[in-house]
Amino acid sequence: MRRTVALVSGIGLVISAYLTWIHYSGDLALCIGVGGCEAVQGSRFAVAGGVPVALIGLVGFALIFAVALVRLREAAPVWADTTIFALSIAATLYVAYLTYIELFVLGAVCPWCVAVAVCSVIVLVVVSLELLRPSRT
Amino acid sequence: MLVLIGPMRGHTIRSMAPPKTRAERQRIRRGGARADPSRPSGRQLAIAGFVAVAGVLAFIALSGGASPPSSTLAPAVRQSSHVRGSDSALITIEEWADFQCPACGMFARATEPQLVTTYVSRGQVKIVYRHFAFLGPESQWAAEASECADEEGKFWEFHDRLFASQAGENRGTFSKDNLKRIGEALGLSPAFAACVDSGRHAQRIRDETQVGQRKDVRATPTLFVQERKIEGAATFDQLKTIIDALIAPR
Repeated sequence: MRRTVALVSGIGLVISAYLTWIHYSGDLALCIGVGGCEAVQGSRFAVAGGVPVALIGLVGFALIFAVALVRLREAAPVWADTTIFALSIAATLYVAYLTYIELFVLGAVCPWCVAVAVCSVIVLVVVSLELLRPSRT
Repeated sequence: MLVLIGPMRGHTIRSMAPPKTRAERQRIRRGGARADPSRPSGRQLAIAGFVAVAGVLAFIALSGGASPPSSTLAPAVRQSSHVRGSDSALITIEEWADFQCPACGMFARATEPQLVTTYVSRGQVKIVYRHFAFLGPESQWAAEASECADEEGKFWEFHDRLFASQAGENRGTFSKDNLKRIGEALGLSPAFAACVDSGRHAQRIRDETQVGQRKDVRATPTLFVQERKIEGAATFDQLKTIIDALIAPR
């Protein structure tokens, strides 16, 4: 289970890094007529409070991935459990908000952004299944 | 010797004591609670969850949901048809764009004002706008409407207003009714609305888009700085390097 979390958050990290790179490289900001990522990343919602949303995703997944690695150890500290739980809730809530913007405000869906959203949800589900199941004595 | 014996004895005692005793001792200390100390308690998880939810909601609220669209676009330097800048400018930037394309919006909002301030206003560069309406019906209507605005000498004002108003593609943002409202807000005459409805510039837009295709324009924005082709919303710094190199030898 913990390996799944580490793997999925690693995938999320890579995609976020790709999206952040796209955000900062002006060359790729173009429209090729099939809608999607350029519409989403070129929109005014791509930057929140001066920070690119892709960069927020990158930092978020870097944190989740780091904590997931800590949790792979035999005697993982309790703070790692609570931290990954909080981070995955925050991530899922934020991507839910962003997906809402994509669907109902922009009317354009970026497949890479959806992939990041799916990673967040998987991490949250797996972490919750592990931490919220009744304790064994 | 004593120092060595001490820890050794301690170690021996610990390894001799079965782990069961330690677990029992812990259980007694916790007042017989059955909680697993290696896992966070429900209370800890609830606090973590609350902090996470509150944090994200606060962030969304504080960041205003989205950055406000830029409303301070560079004023048109000259109201000549589709050319921003002096005809005698040494360098021509030809921009092929679609009013619905977000990357063109980025270019119009971020790069173009800097080009205008730095080069166009000094007569060194002129920017030519060419229609490449390929993202659906609202791209076509918006381009036609810009030609209607041009009839009243307000192409660039209309251009700036359209790029400042982008909000999703083919979702009614640039419906004919909205385009008429945008024109009205810019002080265009009732003839503008009639022009939008007439569709009399439709063929011109289609023809120009075809000219673009023949020039191998495949995406927007596509810029031609003199003969050099640049695909995508180039940043001001990228263009500055190219323009300065072209200006320097003269």
